Amino acid sequence: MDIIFQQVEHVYHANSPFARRALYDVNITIESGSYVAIIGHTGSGKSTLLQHLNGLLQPTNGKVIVGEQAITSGKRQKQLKPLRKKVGIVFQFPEHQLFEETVEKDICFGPMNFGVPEEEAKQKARELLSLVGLPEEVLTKSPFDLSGGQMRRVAIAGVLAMEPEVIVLDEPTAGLDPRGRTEIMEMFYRLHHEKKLTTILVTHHMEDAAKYADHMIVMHKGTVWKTGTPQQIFHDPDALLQIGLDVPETVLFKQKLEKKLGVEIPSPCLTLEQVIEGVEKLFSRVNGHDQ
Amino acid sequence: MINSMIIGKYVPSDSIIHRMDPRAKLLLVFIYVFIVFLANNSVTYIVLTMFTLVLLFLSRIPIAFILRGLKPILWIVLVTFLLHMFMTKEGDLLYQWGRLAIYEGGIKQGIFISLRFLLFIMITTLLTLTTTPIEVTDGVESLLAPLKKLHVPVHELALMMSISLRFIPTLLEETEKIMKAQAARGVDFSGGSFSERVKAIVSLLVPLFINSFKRAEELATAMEARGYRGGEGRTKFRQLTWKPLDTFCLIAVFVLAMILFVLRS
Repeated sequence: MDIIFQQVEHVYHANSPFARRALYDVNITIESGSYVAIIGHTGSGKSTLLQHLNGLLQPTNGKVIVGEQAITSGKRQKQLKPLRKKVGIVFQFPEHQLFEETVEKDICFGPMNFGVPEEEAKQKARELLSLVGLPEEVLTKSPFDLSGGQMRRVAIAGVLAMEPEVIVLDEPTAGLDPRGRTEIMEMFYRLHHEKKLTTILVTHHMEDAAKYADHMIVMHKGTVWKTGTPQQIFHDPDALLQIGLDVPETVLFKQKLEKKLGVEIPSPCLTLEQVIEGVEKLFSRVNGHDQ
Repeated sequence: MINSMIIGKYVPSDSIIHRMDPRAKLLLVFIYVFIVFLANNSVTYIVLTMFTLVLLFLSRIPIAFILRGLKPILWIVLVTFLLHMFMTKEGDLLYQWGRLAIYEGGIKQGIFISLRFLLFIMITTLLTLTTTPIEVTDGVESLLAPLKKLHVPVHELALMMSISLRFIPTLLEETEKIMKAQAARGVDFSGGSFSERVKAIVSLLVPLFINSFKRAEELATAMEARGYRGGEGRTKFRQLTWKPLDTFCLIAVFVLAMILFVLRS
Protein backbone atom coordinates (compact mmCIF):
# COMPACT_ATOMS: atom_id res chain seq x y z
CA MET A 1 0.00 0.00 0.00
CA ASP A 2 1.82 3.08 -1.23
CA ILE A 3 1.35 6.46 0.38
CA ILE A 4 1.53 9.52 -1.84
CA PHE A 5 1.41 13.19 -0.85
CA GLN A 6 0.59 15.61 -3.65
CA GLN A 7 1.08 19.33 -3.04
CA VAL A 8 -0.10 18.92 0.52
CA GLU A 9 -0.62 22.04 2.56
CA HIS A 10 -2.00 22.34 6.08
CA VAL A 11 -3.02 25.55 7.77
CA TYR A 12 -4.11 25.38 11.40
CA HIS A 13 -7.13 27.53 12.33
CA ALA A 14 -7.57 28.54 8.70
CA ASN A 15 -9.53 31.76 8.13
CA SER A 16 -8.98 33.09 11.63
CA PRO A 17 -6.53 35.57 13.12
CA PHE A 18 -4.68 32.58 14.59
CA ALA A 19 -4.03 30.95 11.21
CA ARG A 20 -0.65 29.26 11.02
CA ARG A 21 0.74 27.39 8.05
CA ALA A 22 2.37 24.24 9.35
CA LEU A 23 2.92 22.42 6.07
CA TYR A 24 3.18 23.43 2.43
CA ASP A 25 4.15 22.03 -0.92
CA VAL A 26 4.78 18.53 0.39
CA ASN A 27 5.28 15.93 -2.34
CA ILE A 28 6.45 12.57 -1.13
CA THR A 29 6.00 8.91 -1.94
CA ILE A 30 6.33 6.19 0.65
CA GLU A 31 6.54 2.81 -0.98
CA SER A 32 4.86 -0.25 0.40
CA GLY A 33 7.20 -2.31 2.55
CA SER A 34 9.80 0.39 3.03
CA TYR A 35 11.30 1.78 6.24
CA VAL A 36 11.21 5.55 6.10
CA ALA A 37 12.65 7.93 8.65
CA ILE A 38 11.29 11.46 8.90
CA ILE A 39 13.66 13.85 10.60
CA GLY A 40 13.46 17.56 11.26
CA HIS A 41 13.76 20.22 13.88
CA THR A 42 11.00 20.83 16.43
CA GLY A 43 8.25 22.73 14.62
CA SER A 44 9.36 21.61 11.18
CA GLY A 45 5.98 20.03 10.49
CA LYS A 46 6.77 16.38 11.26
CA SER A 47 3.84 15.85 13.62
CA THR A 48 1.41 17.59 11.30
CA LEU A 49 2.67 15.44 8.45
CA LEU A 50 2.21 12.17 10.30
CA GLN A 51 -1.34 13.02 11.35
CA HIS A 52 -2.23 13.18 7.66
CA LEU A 53 -1.27 9.54 7.24
CA ASN A 54 -4.49 8.21 8.77
CA GLY A 55 -6.79 11.15 8.30
CA LEU A 56 -6.55 12.64 11.80
CA LEU A 57 -5.86 15.84 9.92
CA GLN A 58 -7.03 16.63 6.43
CA PRO A 59 -4.92 18.70 4.08
CA THR A 60 -6.24 22.23 3.60
CA ASN A 61 -4.94 21.94 0.07
CA GLY A 62 -3.63 19.11 -2.04
CA LYS A 63 -4.14 15.39 -1.73
CA VAL A 64 -2.98 12.47 0.37
CA ILE A 65 -3.40 9.06 -1.23
CA VAL A 66 -3.15 6.00 1.01
CA GLY A 67 -3.58 2.83 -0.99
CA GLU A 68 -6.95 3.18 -2.68
CA GLN A 69 -8.17 6.05 -0.58
CA ALA A 70 -7.63 9.72 -1.32
CA ILE A 71 -7.95 12.33 1.39
CA THR A 72 -8.53 15.88 0.29
CA SER A 73 -9.61 19.10 1.91
CA GLY A 74 -13.22 20.00 2.44
CA LYS A 75 -15.93 18.11 4.20
CA ARG A 76 -15.22 15.59 6.90
CA GLN A 77 -14.91 12.15 5.36
CA LYS A 78 -17.00 9.44 6.91
CA GLN A 79 -14.96 6.55 5.64
CA LEU A 80 -11.85 7.12 7.70
CA LYS A 81 -12.23 4.07 9.92
CA PRO A 82 -10.90 1.49 7.46
CA LEU A 83 -7.96 3.80 6.86
CA ARG A 84 -7.24 4.01 10.57
CA LYS A 85 -7.12 0.24 10.78
CA LYS A 86 -4.58 0.08 7.98
CA VAL A 87 -2.35 2.83 9.37
CA GLY A 88 -1.49 2.44 13.04
CA ILE A 89 0.11 5.36 14.83
CA VAL A 90 2.18 5.03 17.96
CA PHE A 91 2.13 8.56 19.33
CA GLN A 92 4.76 10.13 21.53
CA PHE A 93 4.39 8.82 25.08
CA PRO A 94 1.73 6.29 24.01
CA GLU A 95 1.34 5.15 27.64
CA HIS A 96 -0.83 8.26 28.10
CA GLN A 97 -3.60 6.58 26.10
CA LEU A 98 -3.99 3.55 28.39
CA PHE A 99 -7.30 3.48 30.24
CA GLU A 100 -8.67 -0.04 30.69
CA GLU A 101 -8.72 -2.05 33.92
CA THR A 102 -6.43 -4.76 32.62
CA VAL A 103 -3.58 -4.90 30.15
CA GLU A 104 -5.47 -7.54 28.16
CA LYS A 105 -8.54 -5.34 27.74
CA ASP A 106 -6.42 -2.39 26.71
CA ILE A 107 -4.60 -4.33 24.01
CA CYS A 108 -7.93 -5.72 22.76
CA PHE A 109 -9.51 -2.25 22.65
CA GLY A 110 -8.13 -1.29 19.22
CA PRO A 111 -8.91 -4.51 17.35
CA MET A 112 -12.40 -4.74 18.89
CA ASN A 113 -13.14 -1.20 17.72
CA PHE A 114 -12.49 -2.52 14.24
CA GLY A 115 -14.85 -5.44 14.69
CA VAL A 116 -12.45 -8.24 15.63
CA PRO A 117 -14.25 -10.83 17.83
CA GLU A 118 -13.23 -10.86 21.48
CA GLU A 119 -11.67 -14.34 21.50
CA GLU A 120 -9.49 -13.56 18.52
CA ALA A 121 -8.44 -10.25 20.04
CA LYS A 122 -7.47 -11.97 23.29
CA GLN A 123 -5.42 -14.51 21.38
CA LYS A 124 -3.71 -11.65 19.58
CA ALA A 125 -3.03 -9.86 22.87
CA ARG A 126 -1.23 -12.90 24.23
CA GLU A 127 0.98 -13.18 21.14
CA LEU A 128 1.83 -9.51 21.10
CA LEU A 129 2.74 -9.39 24.75
CA SER A 130 5.62 -11.78 24.16
CA LEU A 131 6.55 -9.91 21.01
CA VAL A 132 6.98 -6.65 22.92
CA GLY A 133 8.91 -8.53 25.59
CA LEU A 134 6.49 -8.73 28.51
CA PRO A 135 5.65 -11.84 30.56
CA GLU A 136 2.17 -13.31 30.21
CA GLU A 137 1.13 -12.70 33.84
CA VAL A 138 1.02 -8.99 33.05
CA LEU A 139 -2.21 -9.59 31.09
CA THR A 140 -4.46 -9.53 34.14
CA LYS A 141 -2.71 -6.59 35.82
CA SER A 142 -3.87 -3.01 35.70
CA PRO A 143 -1.74 -1.07 33.22
CA PHE A 144 -1.28 1.62 35.86
CA ASP A 145 0.58 -0.78 38.16
CA LEU A 146 3.33 -1.25 35.58
CA SER A 147 6.57 0.67 35.23
CA GLY A 148 6.87 3.43 32.61
CA GLY A 149 8.79 1.23 30.21
CA GLN A 150 6.30 -1.63 30.56
CA MET A 151 3.38 0.73 30.00
CA ARG A 152 5.04 1.92 26.81
CA ARG A 153 5.28 -1.69 25.60
CA VAL A 154 1.63 -2.36 26.39
CA ALA A 155 0.59 0.74 24.46
CA ILE A 156 2.69 -0.33 21.49
CA ALA A 157 1.12 -3.80 21.64
CA GLY A 158 -2.29 -2.10 21.59
CA VAL A 159 -1.48 -0.45 18.28
CA LEU A 160 0.15 -3.54 16.76
CA ALA A 161 -2.92 -5.59 17.74
CA MET A 162 -4.92 -3.77 15.06
CA GLU A 163 -2.64 -5.51 12.53
CA PRO A 164 -1.98 -2.37 10.53
CA GLU A 165 -0.27 -2.50 7.14
CA VAL A 166 1.61 0.67 7.92
CA ILE A 167 2.99 1.59 11.31
CA VAL A 168 3.88 5.16 12.16
CA LEU A 169 6.20 5.71 15.11
CA ASP A 170 6.50 9.17 16.63
CA GLU A 171 9.63 9.16 18.82
CA PRO A 172 8.75 5.70 20.13
CA THR A 173 11.71 5.54 22.53
CA ALA A 174 11.57 9.04 24.06
CA GLY A 175 12.31 8.81 27.77
CA LEU A 176 13.38 5.17 27.78
CA ASP A 177 16.70 3.88 29.09
CA PRO A 178 19.34 2.86 26.52
CA ARG A 179 18.58 -0.83 26.78
CA GLY A 180 14.83 -0.32 26.39
CA ARG A 181 15.51 1.91 23.39
CA THR A 182 17.54 -0.71 21.58
CA GLU A 183 15.08 -3.48 22.39
CA ILE A 184 12.11 -1.54 21.05
CA MET A 185 13.89 -0.32 17.95
CA GLU A 186 15.13 -3.85 17.20
CA MET A 187 11.62 -5.21 17.67
CA PHE A 188 10.17 -2.78 15.15
CA TYR A 189 12.95 -3.56 12.73
CA ARG A 190 12.26 -7.29 13.07
CA LEU A 191 8.56 -6.70 12.41
CA HIS A 192 9.39 -4.62 9.38
CA HIS A 193 11.72 -7.27 8.10
CA GLU A 194 9.61 -10.36 8.80
CA LYS A 195 6.14 -9.08 8.01
CA LYS A 196 7.11 -6.52 5.39
CA LEU A 197 5.38 -3.92 7.57
CA THR A 198 5.75 -0.45 6.09
CA THR A 199 7.38 1.54 8.87
CA ILE A 200 7.52 5.30 9.21
CA LEU A 201 9.76 6.54 12.00
CA VAL A 202 9.71 10.13 13.19
CA THR A 203 12.80 10.74 15.25
CA HIS A 204 15.44 13.10 16.54
CA HIS A 205 17.89 10.25 16.79
CA MET A 206 20.04 10.35 13.71
CA GLU A 207 21.77 7.11 14.72
CA ASP A 208 18.43 5.29 14.57
CA ALA A 209 17.52 6.86 11.25
CA ALA A 210 20.91 5.92 9.79
CA LYS A 211 20.79 2.40 11.14
CA TYR A 212 17.28 1.29 10.28
CA ALA A 213 15.80 3.41 7.50
CA ASP A 214 16.23 2.73 3.84
CA HIS A 215 14.78 6.09 2.90
CA MET A 216 14.79 9.44 4.66
CA ILE A 217 12.69 12.58 4.49
CA VAL A 218 14.16 15.74 5.97
CA MET A 219 11.61 18.38 6.96
CA HIS A 220 12.51 22.03 7.42
CA LYS A 221 10.18 24.93 8.17
CA GLY A 222 7.04 23.15 7.03
CA THR A 223 8.19 21.59 3.84
CA VAL A 224 10.39 18.79 2.51
CA TRP A 225 13.99 19.92 2.47
CA LYS A 226 15.56 16.77 1.07
CA THR A 227 14.77 13.12 0.51
CA GLY A 228 17.04 10.19 -0.22
CA THR A 229 18.80 7.21 1.26
CA PRO A 230 20.60 7.76 4.58
CA GLN A 231 23.82 7.63 2.61
CA GLN A 232 22.73 10.51 0.40
CA ILE A 233 21.31 12.53 3.28
CA PHE A 234 24.36 12.22 5.51
CA HIS A 235 26.77 12.70 2.63
CA ASP A 236 26.79 16.44 3.35
CA PRO A 237 26.81 16.74 7.15
CA ASP A 238 27.44 20.50 7.13
CA ALA A 239 24.18 21.26 5.36
CA LEU A 240 22.26 19.27 7.97
CA LEU A 241 24.06 20.97 10.82
CA GLN A 242 23.21 24.31 9.27
CA ILE A 243 19.45 23.71 9.48
CA GLY A 244 19.85 22.74 13.11
CA LEU A 245 19.91 18.96 12.76
CA ASP A 246 22.34 16.45 14.12
CA VAL A 247 24.28 13.86 12.20
CA PRO A 248 25.35 10.48 13.55
CA GLU A 249 28.56 10.61 15.55
CA THR A 250 30.08 8.08 13.19
CA VAL A 251 29.63 10.48 10.29
CA LEU A 252 31.24 13.29 12.28
CA PHE A 253 34.11 10.97 13.14
CA LYS A 254 34.60 10.13 9.50
CA GLN A 255 34.56 13.80 8.58
CA LYS A 256 37.18 14.68 11.19
CA LEU A 257 39.40 11.77 10.29
CA GLU A 258 39.27 12.63 6.62
CA LYS A 259 40.20 16.23 7.36
CA LYS A 260 43.08 15.26 9.63
CA LEU A 261 44.61 12.65 7.36
CA GLY A 262 43.73 14.34 4.10
CA VAL A 263 42.29 11.16 2.66
CA GLU A 264 38.86 10.02 1.65
CA ILE A 265 37.15 7.06 3.30
CA PRO A 266 34.96 5.28 0.77
CA SER A 267 32.65 3.69 3.36
CA PRO A 268 29.47 5.72 4.18
CA CYS A 269 30.18 5.23 7.92
CA LEU A 270 26.55 5.30 9.06
CA THR A 271 27.07 2.65 11.73
CA LEU A 272 29.94 1.65 13.95
CA GLU A 273 30.50 -1.48 11.86
CA GLN A 274 30.88 0.56 8.71
CA VAL A 275 33.36 2.86 10.44
CA ILE A 276 35.48 -0.10 11.48
CA GLU A 277 35.30 -1.46 7.98
CA GLY A 278 36.24 1.91 6.47
CA VAL A 279 39.16 2.47 8.82
CA GLU A 280 40.44 -1.07 8.27
CA LYS A 281 40.39 -0.58 4.51
CA LEU A 282 42.14 2.75 4.92
CA PHE A 283 44.97 1.26 6.95
CA SER A 284 45.44 -1.76 4.74
CA ARG A 285 45.76 0.65 1.80
CA VAL A 286 48.28 2.79 3.68
CA ASN A 287 50.23 -0.29 4.68
CA GLY A 288 50.14 -1.48 1.12
CA HIS A 289 51.79 1.74 -0.06
CA ASP A 290 54.47 1.48 2.57
CA GLN A 291 55.63 -1.92 1.47
CA MET B 1 -14.41 24.60 19.50
CA ILE B 2 -11.43 25.72 21.54
CA ASN B 3 -11.00 28.95 19.62
CA SER B 4 -14.52 30.19 20.05
CA MET B 5 -14.07 30.22 23.81
CA ILE B 6 -13.17 33.80 24.38
CA ILE B 7 -14.20 33.98 28.01
CA GLY B 8 -11.00 34.10 29.99
CA LYS B 9 -8.82 35.23 27.13
CA TYR B 10 -6.75 38.31 27.88
CA VAL B 11 -6.25 40.89 25.13
CA PRO B 12 -3.22 43.03 25.90
CA SER B 13 -3.54 46.78 25.41
CA ASP B 14 -2.81 50.00 27.27
CA SER B 15 -6.30 51.42 27.69
CA ILE B 16 -7.70 53.12 30.79
CA ILE B 17 -9.57 49.95 31.65
CA HIS B 18 -6.45 47.84 31.31
CA ARG B 19 -4.56 50.16 33.62
CA MET B 20 -7.18 50.05 36.36
CA ASP B 21 -6.37 48.28 39.58
CA PRO B 22 -7.78 44.74 39.39
CA ARG B 23 -9.41 45.28 42.80
CA ALA B 24 -11.29 48.27 41.42
CA LYS B 25 -12.40 46.25 38.41
CA LEU B 26 -13.55 43.36 40.54
CA LEU B 27 -15.51 45.68 42.81
CA LEU B 28 -16.96 47.44 39.80
CA VAL B 29 -18.19 44.22 38.28
CA PHE B 30 -19.49 43.05 41.67
CA ILE B 31 -21.53 46.22 42.22
CA TYR B 32 -22.62 46.27 38.59
CA VAL B 33 -24.11 42.81 38.90
CA PHE B 34 -26.39 44.13 41.64
CA ILE B 35 -27.41 47.39 40.06
CA VAL B 36 -28.40 45.68 36.84
CA PHE B 37 -31.44 44.57 38.80
CA LEU B 38 -32.36 48.19 39.53
CA ALA B 39 -33.26 48.77 35.91
CA ASN B 40 -36.91 48.07 35.19
CA ASN B 41 -38.02 50.45 32.47
CA SER B 42 -36.83 51.73 29.10
CA VAL B 43 -35.03 54.79 30.46
CA THR B 44 -33.03 52.86 33.07
CA TYR B 45 -32.08 50.18 30.56
CA ILE B 46 -30.89 52.83 28.12
CA VAL B 47 -28.76 54.47 30.83
CA LEU B 48 -27.30 51.12 31.85
CA THR B 49 -26.51 50.13 28.26
CA MET B 50 -24.89 53.50 27.60
CA PHE B 51 -22.68 53.10 30.67
CA THR B 52 -21.61 49.62 29.55
CA LEU B 53 -20.90 50.74 26.01
CA VAL B 54 -18.75 53.61 27.30
CA LEU B 55 -16.71 51.08 29.29
CA LEU B 56 -16.35 48.90 26.20
CA PHE B 57 -15.28 51.91 24.19
CA LEU B 58 -12.71 52.92 26.80
CA SER B 59 -11.20 49.43 26.80
CA ARG B 60 -10.30 49.85 23.08
CA ILE B 61 -11.08 46.18 22.51
CA PRO B 62 -12.39 45.57 19.00
CA ILE B 63 -16.16 45.14 19.17
CA ALA B 64 -15.88 42.04 16.97
CA PHE B 65 -13.93 40.37 19.77
CA ILE B 66 -16.69 40.93 22.28
CA LEU B 67 -19.41 39.84 19.88
CA ARG B 68 -17.52 36.63 19.21
CA GLY B 69 -17.42 36.04 22.96
CA LEU B 70 -21.18 36.45 23.12
CA LYS B 71 -21.81 33.94 20.36
CA PRO B 72 -21.81 30.76 22.51
CA ILE B 73 -24.48 32.14 24.86
CA LEU B 74 -26.61 33.65 22.10
CA TRP B 75 -29.03 30.74 22.04
CA ILE B 76 -29.56 30.94 25.80
CA VAL B 77 -30.46 34.60 25.35
CA LEU B 78 -32.78 33.68 22.52
CA VAL B 79 -34.56 31.02 24.56
CA THR B 80 -34.92 33.47 27.45
CA PHE B 81 -36.39 36.02 25.08
CA LEU B 82 -38.89 33.59 23.58
CA LEU B 83 -39.94 32.25 26.98
CA HIS B 84 -40.65 35.71 28.30
CA MET B 85 -42.35 36.77 25.11
CA PHE B 86 -44.84 33.92 25.22
CA MET B 87 -45.30 33.59 28.98
CA THR B 88 -45.91 37.21 29.95
CA LYS B 89 -49.54 38.17 29.55
CA GLU B 90 -49.56 41.91 30.14
CA GLY B 91 -50.52 44.97 28.12
CA ASP B 92 -52.21 44.95 24.74
CA LEU B 93 -52.66 41.75 22.77
CA LEU B 94 -50.54 42.08 19.63
CA TYR B 95 -50.92 38.76 17.89
CA GLN B 96 -52.80 35.57 18.41
CA TRP B 97 -52.24 32.27 16.69
CA GLY B 98 -54.14 29.39 18.23
CA ARG B 99 -53.07 29.16 21.84
CA LEU B 100 -49.96 31.23 21.26
CA ALA B 101 -50.50 34.83 22.14
CA ILE B 102 -48.03 37.65 22.12
CA TYR B 103 -48.67 40.64 24.34
CA GLU B 104 -46.92 43.99 24.30
CA GLY B 105 -45.70 43.40 27.85
CA GLY B 106 -44.22 40.09 26.76
CA ILE B 107 -42.06 41.63 24.09
CA LYS B 108 -40.94 44.33 26.47
CA GLN B 109 -40.12 41.83 29.21
CA GLY B 110 -38.33 39.58 26.73
CA ILE B 111 -36.13 42.40 25.53
CA PHE B 112 -35.39 43.58 29.06
CA ILE B 113 -34.43 40.19 30.40
CA SER B 114 -32.24 39.23 27.43
CA LEU B 115 -30.61 42.65 27.56
CA ARG B 116 -29.88 42.12 31.24
CA PHE B 117 -28.29 38.82 30.34
CA LEU B 118 -26.18 40.34 27.58
CA LEU B 119 -25.02 43.17 29.82
CA PHE B 120 -23.98 40.68 32.50
CA ILE B 121 -21.89 38.68 30.08
CA MET B 122 -20.44 41.78 28.45
CA ILE B 123 -19.19 43.25 31.70
CA THR B 124 -17.65 39.99 32.92
CA THR B 125 -16.10 39.36 29.51
CA LEU B 126 -14.71 42.86 29.67
CA LEU B 127 -13.10 42.03 33.00
CA THR B 128 -11.32 38.94 31.71
CA LEU B 129 -10.40 40.55 28.39
CA THR B 130 -8.66 43.46 30.12
CA THR B 131 -7.23 41.73 33.19
CA THR B 132 -4.66 38.94 33.24
CA PRO B 133 -5.58 35.89 35.33
CA ILE B 134 -2.68 36.72 37.65
CA GLU B 135 -4.08 40.19 38.26
CA VAL B 136 -7.50 38.74 38.95
CA THR B 137 -6.17 36.32 41.56
CA ASP B 138 -3.99 39.01 43.14
CA GLY B 139 -7.04 41.23 43.29
CA VAL B 140 -9.23 38.52 44.83
CA GLU B 141 -6.57 37.68 47.39
CA SER B 142 -6.17 41.32 48.37
CA LEU B 143 -9.92 41.96 48.58
CA LEU B 144 -10.53 38.88 50.69
CA ALA B 145 -7.54 39.54 52.97
CA PRO B 146 -9.74 40.73 55.88
CA LEU B 147 -11.28 37.24 56.01
CA LYS B 148 -7.93 35.87 57.15
CA LYS B 149 -8.89 37.04 60.63
CA LEU B 150 -11.76 34.56 60.45
CA HIS B 151 -9.26 31.82 59.53
CA VAL B 152 -10.41 31.63 55.93
CA PRO B 153 -7.45 30.28 53.88
CA VAL B 154 -7.48 33.24 51.49
CA HIS B 155 -4.00 32.75 50.08
CA GLU B 156 -4.60 29.07 49.42
CA LEU B 157 -7.91 29.80 47.69
CA ALA B 158 -6.25 32.38 45.46
CA LEU B 159 -3.46 29.95 44.67
CA MET B 160 -5.96 27.25 43.76
CA MET B 161 -7.69 29.69 41.50
CA SER B 162 -4.54 30.71 39.68
CA ILE B 163 -3.36 27.12 39.31
CA SER B 164 -6.64 26.01 37.80
CA LEU B 165 -6.64 28.97 35.41
CA ARG B 166 -3.07 28.20 34.45
CA PHE B 167 -3.89 24.61 33.56
CA ILE B 168 -6.95 25.18 31.40
CA PRO B 169 -4.93 25.45 28.18
CA THR B 170 -2.76 22.49 29.19
CA LEU B 171 -5.83 20.35 29.75
CA LEU B 172 -7.35 21.37 26.44
CA GLU B 173 -4.14 20.48 24.67
CA GLU B 174 -3.97 17.15 26.39
CA THR B 175 -7.61 16.39 25.61
CA GLU B 176 -6.87 16.92 21.95
CA LYS B 177 -3.81 14.69 22.10
CA ILE B 178 -5.62 11.80 23.80
CA MET B 179 -8.60 12.11 21.49
CA LYS B 180 -6.26 11.75 18.55
CA ALA B 181 -4.49 8.74 20.04
CA GLN B 182 -7.82 7.01 20.70
CA ALA B 183 -9.18 7.96 17.27
CA ALA B 184 -6.12 6.25 15.81
CA ARG B 185 -7.22 3.14 17.72
CA GLY B 186 -10.62 3.25 16.05
CA VAL B 187 -12.65 5.35 18.48
CA ASP B 188 -15.29 7.46 16.79
CA PHE B 189 -15.93 10.55 18.89
CA SER B 190 -18.55 12.01 16.58
CA GLY B 191 -21.03 9.18 16.24
CA GLY B 192 -22.03 5.67 17.13
CA SER B 193 -24.53 4.10 19.48
CA PHE B 194 -25.01 5.24 23.08
CA SER B 195 -22.77 2.51 24.56
CA GLU B 196 -20.08 3.26 21.99
CA ARG B 197 -20.21 6.90 22.93
CA VAL B 198 -19.89 6.11 26.62
CA LYS B 199 -16.89 3.93 25.87
CA ALA B 200 -15.35 6.70 23.80
CA ILE B 201 -15.75 9.21 26.62
CA VAL B 202 -14.30 6.76 29.15
CA SER B 203 -11.26 6.23 26.94
CA LEU B 204 -10.72 9.98 27.05
CA LEU B 205 -11.56 10.75 30.67
CA VAL B 206 -9.54 8.03 32.38
CA PRO B 207 -6.19 9.04 30.88
CA LEU B 208 -7.05 12.70 31.39
CA PHE B 209 -7.74 12.20 35.10
CA ILE B 210 -4.71 10.01 35.67
CA ASN B 211 -2.40 12.49 33.99
CA SER B 212 -3.92 15.38 35.94
CA PHE B 213 -3.36 13.65 39.27
CA LYS B 214 0.20 12.86 38.29
CA ARG B 215 0.78 16.43 37.25
CA ALA B 216 -0.71 17.76 40.48
CA GLU B 217 1.67 15.66 42.50
CA GLU B 218 4.65 16.73 40.43
CA LEU B 219 3.63 20.35 40.77
CA ALA B 220 3.35 20.04 44.53
CA THR B 221 6.79 18.47 44.74
CA ALA B 222 8.28 21.13 42.47
CA MET B 223 6.74 23.90 44.58
CA GLU B 224 8.07 22.42 47.79
CA ALA B 225 11.48 21.95 46.23
CA ARG B 226 11.49 25.68 45.53
CA GLY B 227 10.68 26.48 49.13
CA TYR B 228 6.96 27.15 48.95
CA ARG B 229 5.29 26.95 52.35
CA GLY B 230 2.04 28.87 52.10
CA GLY B 231 1.30 32.57 52.21
CA GLU B 232 2.85 33.27 55.62
CA GLY B 233 5.45 36.02 55.31
CA ARG B 234 5.43 35.84 51.54
CA THR B 235 6.19 39.08 49.72
CA LYS B 236 4.88 39.99 46.29
CA PHE B 237 6.74 40.90 43.15
CA ARG B 238 3.70 42.59 41.63
CA GLN B 239 2.36 45.28 43.92
CA LEU B 240 -1.18 46.49 43.41
CA THR B 241 -1.49 50.27 43.47
CA TRP B 242 -4.77 52.07 43.94
CA LYS B 243 -4.84 55.16 41.74
CA PRO B 244 -7.21 58.18 41.65
CA LEU B 245 -8.62 56.69 38.45
CA ASP B 246 -9.83 53.66 40.41
CA THR B 247 -11.58 55.79 42.99
CA PHE B 248 -13.16 57.78 40.18
CA CYS B 249 -14.49 54.66 38.48
CA LEU B 250 -16.03 53.38 41.69
CA ILE B 251 -17.68 56.75 42.29
CA ALA B 252 -19.02 56.58 38.73
CA VAL B 253 -20.66 53.23 39.47
CA PHE B 254 -22.27 54.60 42.62
CA VAL B 255 -23.55 57.61 40.70
CA LEU B 256 -24.95 55.22 38.12
CA ALA B 257 -26.68 53.28 40.88
CA MET B 258 -28.22 56.48 42.18
CA ILE B 259 -29.41 57.56 38.74
CA LEU B 260 -30.99 54.17 38.20
CA PHE B 261 -32.63 54.32 41.60
CA VAL B 262 -34.19 57.71 40.80
CA LEU B 263 -35.30 56.81 37.29
CA ARG B 264 -36.72 53.35 37.97
CA SER B 265 -40.48 53.03 38.10
